Amino acid sequence: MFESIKKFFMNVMTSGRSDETADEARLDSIVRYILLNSLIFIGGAFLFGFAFQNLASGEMAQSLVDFGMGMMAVLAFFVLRTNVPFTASGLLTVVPFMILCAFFAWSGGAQGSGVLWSYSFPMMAIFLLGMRNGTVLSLLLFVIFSLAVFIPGFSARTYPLLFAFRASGVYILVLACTLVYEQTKVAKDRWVSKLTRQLKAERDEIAAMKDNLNVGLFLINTAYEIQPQYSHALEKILDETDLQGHNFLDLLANSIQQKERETLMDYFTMVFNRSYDAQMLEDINPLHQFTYLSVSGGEQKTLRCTFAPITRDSGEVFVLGTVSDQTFEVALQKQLSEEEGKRNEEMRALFEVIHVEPRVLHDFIEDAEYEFDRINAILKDNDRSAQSVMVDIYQSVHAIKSNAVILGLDSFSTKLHALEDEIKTLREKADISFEEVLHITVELDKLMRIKDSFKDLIDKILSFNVGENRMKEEQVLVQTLERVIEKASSDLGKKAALTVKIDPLAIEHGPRRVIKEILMQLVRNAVYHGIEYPEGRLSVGKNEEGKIRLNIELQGAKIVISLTDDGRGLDFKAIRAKAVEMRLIAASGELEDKNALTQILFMPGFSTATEADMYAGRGIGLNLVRERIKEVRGSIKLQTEEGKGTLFKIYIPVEISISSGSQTA
Amino acid sequence: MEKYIQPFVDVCQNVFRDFIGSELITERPYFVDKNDPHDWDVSAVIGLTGEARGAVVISMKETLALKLTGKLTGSTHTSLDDEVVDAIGEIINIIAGNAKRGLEESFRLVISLPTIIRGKGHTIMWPNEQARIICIPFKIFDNETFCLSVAIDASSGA
Repeated sequence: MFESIKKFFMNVMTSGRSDETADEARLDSIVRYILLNSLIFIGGAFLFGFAFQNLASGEMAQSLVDFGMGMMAVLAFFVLRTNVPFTASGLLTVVPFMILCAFFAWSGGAQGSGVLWSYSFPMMAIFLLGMRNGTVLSLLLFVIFSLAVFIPGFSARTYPLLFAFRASGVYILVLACTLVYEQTKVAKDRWVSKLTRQLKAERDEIAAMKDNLNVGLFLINTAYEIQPQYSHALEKILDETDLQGHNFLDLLANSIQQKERETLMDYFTMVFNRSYDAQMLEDINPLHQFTYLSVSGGEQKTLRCTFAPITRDSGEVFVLGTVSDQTFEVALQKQLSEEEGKRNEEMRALFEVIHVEPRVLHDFIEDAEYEFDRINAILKDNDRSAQSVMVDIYQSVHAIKSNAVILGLDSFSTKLHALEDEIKTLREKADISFEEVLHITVELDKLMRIKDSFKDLIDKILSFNVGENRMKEEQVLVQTLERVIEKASSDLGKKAALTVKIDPLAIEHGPRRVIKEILMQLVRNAVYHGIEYPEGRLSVGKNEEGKIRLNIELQGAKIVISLTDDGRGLDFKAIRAKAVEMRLIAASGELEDKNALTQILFMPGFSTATEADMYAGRGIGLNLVRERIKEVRGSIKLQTEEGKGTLFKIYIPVEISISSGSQTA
Repeated sequence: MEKYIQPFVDVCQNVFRDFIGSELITERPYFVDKNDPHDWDVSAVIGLTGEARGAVVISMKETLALKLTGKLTGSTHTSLDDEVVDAIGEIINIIAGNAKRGLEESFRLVISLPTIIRGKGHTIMWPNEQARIICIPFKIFDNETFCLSVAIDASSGA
C-alpha cells in the first residue's frame, strides 16, 4: 500500500521518469522534473487560489488572468509527461511563475514582502530553462520589479528609495550568483561528458579486444573468485557461462583431483605472494597443460593456463590468468609423432625384410599364405564353436610367428605375437562375442596386408635380379636353341619344335656357357639324326612336327638336364657299319653290344652323317659334349628306343659349376 | 578398423528388427578374395571416404530379396523386378542413413548414397588395393543368408 503510494507520488513528481534506471547522469534531469512539477503544483495552487479570491471580490478580469495562468501550469504538467522537449513545459510553467512574481512585486503583498518572491525566480528560470532563456526572463522580471519598486504610483504600494535600491541590488546579486554557479556547472558538465566519451571509447576498445581475444583472460581474487571483467573466450573455452564470482578451483572439479587441487592452492599462494619471479612460476605451473572436463560434462579438452600476480591501486592482489585451448595442437602433435613412429617402424620392417635372402623370404610368404588360407577356412566353418576356432587360429598364427622369428622379421613377429596373446585369452573364454571375433578378423587383415607388402617387395627384388641377369640368360638360352632348331630343320626340310621347362635356380647355379654349348650340340643332333622327315613321320603315325623337350632342374647338389626327342632313335646298324668302316671296332665283335656302340658315338671324329656341313658331320658332335661334361665333372646318360626317340640325361654337380667361376650366384 | 565396421553390423540388426520384424543372426566373419566368383543376385554398394576410405557392400540372393519385398510391401513377386529392387533399395537407404548418422558424427567420414546392382554373377570392382575383403554373413528367416562385405583402408591410425 505504502509502496504503491510512494510509487504513484514518484511517478507524478518525475512525470513518469522514475522507473528508468537510476543512473547518476540522469539524476540531474530527474531533479529538474521534480522541481518543475513542484513549481507547477505550488504555482498552480496559488494561481487558482488567486483566481477564486479575485472572483469572490468581483474582479473578473484579474480572476480570468489568474485562471488562465493556472491552466497554463496544468497544461505544462501534461506536456511534461509527453515527449515534447523539456523547455516547452518549462516555459509554460516558468512564464506564469514570472507573472506571479511580477504580480506579487507589483501588489506589494503583506508589508511589502511580495518582492521577496522574485528572488527565487532567477534560480528557477536559469536552472529550468538554461542560461539564455533564464537570463532573458530574469531580466524581464527585473524590469517589472524595478518599475514596481522605483516608480511611485506604478505599483499599488510605494517603496522608499533606499529600499528600492537594496531590493533591486539583491535581485541582481542573486541573478549574478546564479549565473556564475550555472556557468561553472555547465563547464563542469561539459568536461565530465568529454571525459565520459573518452572513457567510453576506451572501454569499447578494451571490450572489443577482450571479446575477440581467443584466449580466456580473467582475474581471480584471493578467494579464487573470478572477477566480472573476464574475456568472452573464457566461457567458450571452459564450456560454462556466467563465470563472475565462480570459484576457479570449483570449475576444475572434474579435471583435477583433490590432491592436485591442494597443489594448485599452494601454487596460487606463491603467485599471490609476489616474491617469485615469473619464469619460476611458469616452470612449476601445475596447469601448464592439463585435460579439462567441464563441470557440466561435455567434451574433453587440453587446456593451457598461465598465471601472474597483479596489484590494484587499492593494494589488493589479484591473479591474472589466461586459458587457451590446446586440444587441436596436442592432437596434431600426437598424430605427427604417431605418423613418425609408423614410418620408422615401416623403415625398420623394410630393413628386416631386405636382410632376408629372397628365396627364403619367398618360402616364408608361401608358408604364411598357406596358414592364412587355413585360418580363413576355419573361420568359414560354421559347424565349429568359436572357441575351437580360436584354438586352431592360435596354432596357425603361432606357426607364422615362429617362422618370422627365425627370419629375424622382428616387427612383424611382434605384431603376430600381440595377436597371438589376444587369441590366447579368447581361447580360454567360454563366451566369445561377435565384436571379439570381428576384432581378431580385422587384426588378421592387418597382418595379411603386411604379408602382402612383403610379397610386393620380394617380387620387386626378384624381378629386379631376374631382369638384369637370370631371366635374360634363360631366355637367351631358349632363343638360341630355338634358332638352332629352326635353322637345322629348315636346312633339312624337317619340322621340329622345342618345349622347355627350366628351373631358374638351376641355371643360376650352372656353368651357363658349358650348358649352352652342350645343348646346342645335342639339339642339333636331335634334328639331324633323331627327327624324321615329315613324310617319314606321318607314315609311322607320328605328328609331322618333331618334338624336342628340354628340362633343366636342380636335384639336390646336381643340375639335371634332360633332352628328349620323339625321333627314330639311334640307328645301331649305321653306327656299327660306320664304326667298322672307321676301324673303331672289329667287324665281327661287339656287334650286338649297344653299350659299346653308344660309347663309340662319343668318340672323337665319329659321325654317321655322310657329308659334313655347318651343323653335323664334322665328327666333333658328341665328343665335344663328352669333353665339356668332363670339364665340369658331370656325366651323361643316353637312353634310346628304336622308332620312339632318344633321351639324353646330363648331371652337373652344383659345386663345380660355382667354383668354375663362369657364374656368380 | 572395426570401429567403422561395427556400426554397420549394429544398424543392420536394428533395421531388420524394426522394419522386417526379424532378428538377424550374425555369423563369424571371414575373408574373401575379391576376385573370387560369387552367386549373389543383388548388391548394394555404400562408399566411404574421409579418414577411412573404401566401400561396404550388402549382397543377397534373389530368394531373400523376394521375401524381404513381400514383408515390406505385402505383395508377391516371382522375379527381381523393379519393385523388388526399389524395396531392397529402400531397406539399404535406411541402413545407410542410420549408419551415416552414427559414423559421420563420430569420425571424419562421409558416406555415399547407396547404389544397387542387380544381376546374376555381377562383379564388384572394389576401390581398394588389397586382394581381400572381410565378409560378415548374416542369417535370417532360418535358412536365408546375406553378406555384409567390407573393404576399408584407414588412412590415419585405426
